Amino acid sequence: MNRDRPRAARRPSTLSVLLPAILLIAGLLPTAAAADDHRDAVVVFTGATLHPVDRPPIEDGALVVRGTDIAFAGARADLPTDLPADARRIALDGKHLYPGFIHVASELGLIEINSVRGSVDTDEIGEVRSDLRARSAYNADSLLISAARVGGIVAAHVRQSGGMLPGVSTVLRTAGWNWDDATVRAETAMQLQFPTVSSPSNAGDEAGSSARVMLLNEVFDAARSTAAADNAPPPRNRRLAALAPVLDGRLALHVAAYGRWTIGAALDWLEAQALTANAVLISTPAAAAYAERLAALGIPVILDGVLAEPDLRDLPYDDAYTAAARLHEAGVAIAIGNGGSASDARNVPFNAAMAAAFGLPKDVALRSVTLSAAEILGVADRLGSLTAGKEASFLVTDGDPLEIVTRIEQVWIAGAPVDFTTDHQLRLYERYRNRPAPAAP
Amino acid sequence: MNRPRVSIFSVRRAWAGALMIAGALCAGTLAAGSADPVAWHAPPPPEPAVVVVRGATIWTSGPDGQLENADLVVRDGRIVAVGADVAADAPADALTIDGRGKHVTAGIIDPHSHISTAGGVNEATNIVTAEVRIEDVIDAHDIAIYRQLAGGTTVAHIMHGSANSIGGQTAVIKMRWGQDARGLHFKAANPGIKFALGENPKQSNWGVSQLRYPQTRAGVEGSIRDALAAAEDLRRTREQHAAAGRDAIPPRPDLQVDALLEVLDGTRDVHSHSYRADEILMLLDVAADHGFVVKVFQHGLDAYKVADELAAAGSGVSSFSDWWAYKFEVIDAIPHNGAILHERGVLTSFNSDDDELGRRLNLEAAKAVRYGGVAPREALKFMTLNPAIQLGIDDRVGSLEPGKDADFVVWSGDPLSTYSICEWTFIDGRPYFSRARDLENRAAIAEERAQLLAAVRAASGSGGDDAADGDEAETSEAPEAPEASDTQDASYAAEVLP
Repeated sequence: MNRDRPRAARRPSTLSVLLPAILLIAGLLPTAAAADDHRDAVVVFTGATLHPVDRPPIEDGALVVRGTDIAFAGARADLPTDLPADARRIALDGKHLYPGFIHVASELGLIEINSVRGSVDTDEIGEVRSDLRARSAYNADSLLISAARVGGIVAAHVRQSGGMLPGVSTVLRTAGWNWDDATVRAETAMQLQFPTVSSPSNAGDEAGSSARVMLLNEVFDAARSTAAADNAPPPRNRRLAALAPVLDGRLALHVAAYGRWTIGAALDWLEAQALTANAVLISTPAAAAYAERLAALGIPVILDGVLAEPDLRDLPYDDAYTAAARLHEAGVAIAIGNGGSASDARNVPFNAAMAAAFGLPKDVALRSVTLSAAEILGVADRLGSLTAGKEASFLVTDGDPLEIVTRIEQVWIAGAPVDFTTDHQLRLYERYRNRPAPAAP
Repeated sequence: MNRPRVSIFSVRRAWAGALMIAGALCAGTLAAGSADPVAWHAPPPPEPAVVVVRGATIWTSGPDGQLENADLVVRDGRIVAVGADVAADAPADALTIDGRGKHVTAGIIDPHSHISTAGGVNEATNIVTAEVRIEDVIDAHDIAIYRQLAGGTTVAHIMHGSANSIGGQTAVIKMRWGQDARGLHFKAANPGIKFALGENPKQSNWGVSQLRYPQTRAGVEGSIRDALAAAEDLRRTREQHAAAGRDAIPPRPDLQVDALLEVLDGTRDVHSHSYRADEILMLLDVAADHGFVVKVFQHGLDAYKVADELAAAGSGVSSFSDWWAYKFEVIDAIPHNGAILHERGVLTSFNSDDDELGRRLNLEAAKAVRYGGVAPREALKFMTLNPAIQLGIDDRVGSLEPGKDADFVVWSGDPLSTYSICEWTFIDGRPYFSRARDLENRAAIAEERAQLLAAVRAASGSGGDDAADGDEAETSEAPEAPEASDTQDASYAAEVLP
């Protein structure tokens, strides 16, 4: 691996903007500085089977990376002829290239060790924290992010989950010097944790479905009033102001509803609030019970974990496994997650694989953890497929990456190779597999 | 108790094709109002005299390795032949499965499970509770049994939790769905006892109001040494009493000590919850001092750091495949644990410790291939032969060899492939799970549910019995749907289902 290669900058740093000027002032041409700037470095991968996801697989393919982005993805025979002479060339005959996985609902970076309170930044106190942004708590050096990265996760939709309105989520790369550097889409969606409804008798019954739903209604009413007021006097209400882009459709609303009856109540609420157009449902496999309604409303579903037990005792044993297929057949757009767990993020593709084992077409399963996830998160212009103009965030494998036995041999994120040797777990593996046998007593 | 009078899982029509044994199973049809609405449990399937799987890829987990285009023949619940063309003289009425394109493995064995414990997982009151027994709390109606059968799991080692350093006596069950608790018990297994080390017995993640000794790893060691020393003392007292003659007052019986003496005598195997290398070495030390061998370190996520020491002691490890970072003591857990242990000669298995994971353990074996490159056949043994050895049942199960129990699984494809599913699960030669049968029964189950709901509605005088006043605890912010009560099921179905 080219571990000394600096990460290509995604935007000009202050230094890179100023340096040419400084050099010019010094009477030198800026070409010397460009030698260390890999924004235009070109890497050409040839021979692998390309799995672009937005098109059928391409055998004997070629992928050209220029800087952070994909410049070409197609058949080797169609490789551009104007590649620079000093382009780096990597032969991948017999290998496979896939877009990297997206952890579509994630706690990555917000949590290190679940039982160590000081390392957990997922749950804030208070019901209405719509002003908060998850991304500024994203610890880019988390050991868990590293494990996800070498497991093929190239980006994560990072969201808080405490209270009802925990704030705004962000899509970040799993590689970067800090959260700012790692950001793909700063303001991805307002998160709403819909109040749990414990039985169907409560669904749609405002009084019964708790004071929390009443509070939610009051909050949204107040946000509308605030937005409508021409010159609202100070003090500003930052929590209500944060909801304005949701109300006018500029910001998506992700509604997390996990229980079977909570899902129905959440859909009722979205319709009553006329907020279905920009809504995404984050849910459990029980969402498949509402497949037709979700399809009619056009609400995409982030299926947050397929590897689950049926939520009722007398449901078919495979109810959770078939949920993705049932949603897909009804016409609902789906992305598949793993329940949010950061340490388990690398198992996201195997959630999709279980859905495929139980009826979801394999190509849809692959899409559910790549391009469909990117589309639902509004980052499909940058992530999710091997397409010219998108970020060069991809995997080199020896086979189908939805198979556990497949090896992920390389991971590239935004044009830079991931250095596997810095991963905490792989370092321990190398250290202890080479431990000399203890001396005989 | 097994109450098969009315069952939503019972078969109401002829079994498909080869089975031809349906009538005996029918538990009777439900006439609304006349049946017991709580008896939903299925009777066990009958035992076909002969079962034949023809033309399959058979992973024997035994000396024969993997056999292509091979047959498996079962007679009276036992395997009688495995190999090419061994089914030629099978009787015409044998239950015959076309194995072409299918893979057959031994039944999956889960060496660390908490299913069907009826809430009796932790007797957390004292630091040592060696006297309590899992076999006393087995709930044969736990739906997890059926769901795990549907994932190819046939045997589970049911243990107490890890709240105390010595938690209680374990039980091994076969997933004989439909039988009662005694019928599930797999008596051939070695008696076991759960020990636990580290954060859980030292209450690291409990509220401060509940503190009791011990609070450190050293204290955990002390508590175990105290208990073993007390057992040895009582043994001496009993010996002295035996020598003293009949007129001496005998020491009082002590069930806790009885269990610990079995540990010291090597007749009860220690399965110790553990994570860090230091505490693993500690228990090896304690065991050596008292002359026994720790049979299995359960979890043992840092065991890879002391693999040679474990191999030298003859202790096995039953690990998670890839869990880590949920507690501080597992920050160094790596998914290559199983591979390193296996390479260094430690008998290694993977386990679920989880109702859901326990129904796809074939895929956990695949992780030993992914992380560390264990050969697929050896990796599968992490879920078959190796746990069988760890539980002392390898003369009965764990591999497909003549003479062993006919516990096997027919998979739609390679058992290590994420796209394969379990199609049949046999225990003792009986088809306890058949996917075709499960699919076929779903309509009947839905129909019976509707009948039951009608009965409930009729009994309550309206369609709106109020299950809304749910327990507050169940309306909390739990990320998953609360476990539904039967009333909630009924209420849900009444309103949501057609």
